[in-house]
Amino acid sequence: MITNKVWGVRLRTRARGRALVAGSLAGLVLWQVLAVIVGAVTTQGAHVVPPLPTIFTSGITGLSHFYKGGLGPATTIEGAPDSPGLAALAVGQNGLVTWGRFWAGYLLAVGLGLPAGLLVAGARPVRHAVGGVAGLLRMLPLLAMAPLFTLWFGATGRAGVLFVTFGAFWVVLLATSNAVANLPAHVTDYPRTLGLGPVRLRTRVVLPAILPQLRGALMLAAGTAWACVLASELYGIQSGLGWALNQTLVYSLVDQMIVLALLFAGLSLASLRLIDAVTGHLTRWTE
Amino acid sequence: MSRPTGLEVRSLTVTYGSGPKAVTPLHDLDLDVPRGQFLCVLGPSGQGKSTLLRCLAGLLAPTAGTITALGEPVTGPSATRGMVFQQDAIPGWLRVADNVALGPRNRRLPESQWRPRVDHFVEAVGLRGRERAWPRELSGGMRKRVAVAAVFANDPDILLMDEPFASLDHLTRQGLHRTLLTLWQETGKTIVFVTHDVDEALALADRVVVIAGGGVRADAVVPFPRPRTDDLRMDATANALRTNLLHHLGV
Repeated sequence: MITNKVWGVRLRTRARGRALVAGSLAGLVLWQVLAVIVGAVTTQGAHVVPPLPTIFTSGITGLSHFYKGGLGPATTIEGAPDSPGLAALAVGQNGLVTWGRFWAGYLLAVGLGLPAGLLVAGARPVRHAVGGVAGLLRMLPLLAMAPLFTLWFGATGRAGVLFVTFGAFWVVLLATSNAVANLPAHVTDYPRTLGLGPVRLRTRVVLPAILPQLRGALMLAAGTAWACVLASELYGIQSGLGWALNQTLVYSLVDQMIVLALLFAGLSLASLRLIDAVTGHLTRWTE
Repeated sequence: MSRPTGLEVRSLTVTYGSGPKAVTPLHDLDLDVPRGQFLCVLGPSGQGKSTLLRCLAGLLAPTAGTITALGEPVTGPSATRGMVFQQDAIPGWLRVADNVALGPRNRRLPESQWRPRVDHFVEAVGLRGRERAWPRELSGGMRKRVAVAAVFANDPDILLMDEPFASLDHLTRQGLHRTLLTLWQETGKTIVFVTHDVDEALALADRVVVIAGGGVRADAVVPFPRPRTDDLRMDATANALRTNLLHHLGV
């Protein structure tokens, strides 16, 4: 029976792996075919759909321009030629900044949204009022507010972090208060008869009880946070992958744009996987 | 000489809603439960058994009337009045031992004080060896055992049990009856046990009250010595008492 299970897992894993490889190869082939068919170039002479060899060469080494120095090697402004090493430093430097902004903003949103949601859920009128405000805010296009944050807090990393927090906070707050409101009464009645006070009731009972319902919202908040990071880095901040992406747009560097977009997607996926793993561990009692 | 009162209920009235749609399951109800007594509360569905228990637990404020527990007015939930619910109420994210320790740990006592007590009640309900199990890994009967152990480990003066074994099969329920009676005799707690099963009440209680129409319809002492076996079904006195209780239940 154990062997079957092991085999079952292996078979499924192999099948998924093969499907992933096949899908990726098909995507690459399709891209190359498109590059040949389209063939159009921008006014700067860059391919609108660059062929794969271009992406894997100048698309990567061209990122060297985004290396700002301070880590040893000279920058391209100081005369250093484009190279894969310099490109790796550029990606590491800007990627870390973006990664840091995401996590700082996201964790702040979760750290504020969870307790606020727990508090708000305690009083129905407050919950309805907050729900109304959040509903109104939801009507506003979130990303359009990025320039406003730049105006308020300057073109700084702090503005980016605050914008990410703002975007993800409402998602966490609303999901938390709704999850608490939907808890069956006996979930909280039982610990109250054991003598748990309001604070311990919320931290030891309510929070773990709603976590399975919150998993989806925490992922959604992370998705929102990534959109906010990108938006904030597009407006004035002079660092991060979003800033680099904006530069590639300004100078029509399509091959580098594609590499940066893929890096962005990779970072986003890694963070979602991490959040999924952590929340999965915390809710392993439901499996 | 009468035992000191554990619970004293005076003119208890509970009304849900208002206007023409108002419902009053309990009206002007009086009840005394001596300390250490095992009281079973019987009654048809919707006649206020669970409402009474929630009032005793302090989870529901009565519309009128007063409740005192061990001489103190009941104004809210308290660790002195533990409750076992009909639903699976034990937190699913706490392993068996952590569930049993939830109440004692909350009192911020040193572990050396509460750990032996937790271990004792885990053992007493037959869950030794399953301390690290998640509730979802246990059967319904085992989860009830966790709930019983948890409430005893918290050392309340009064135990309120709201049809705790209603969803279990006959054999599991009998096993839990034995466990509960053993723990009750060991600890001498006051127990108020709500059930709709007359045989369960006769197997467990010192005294049975029937609640219907908002008040106490019948109040009977159960005079049979313990341990009570299935032979009680053949006993003429027991059958007369059963018939009387069923009559008050409207059966």
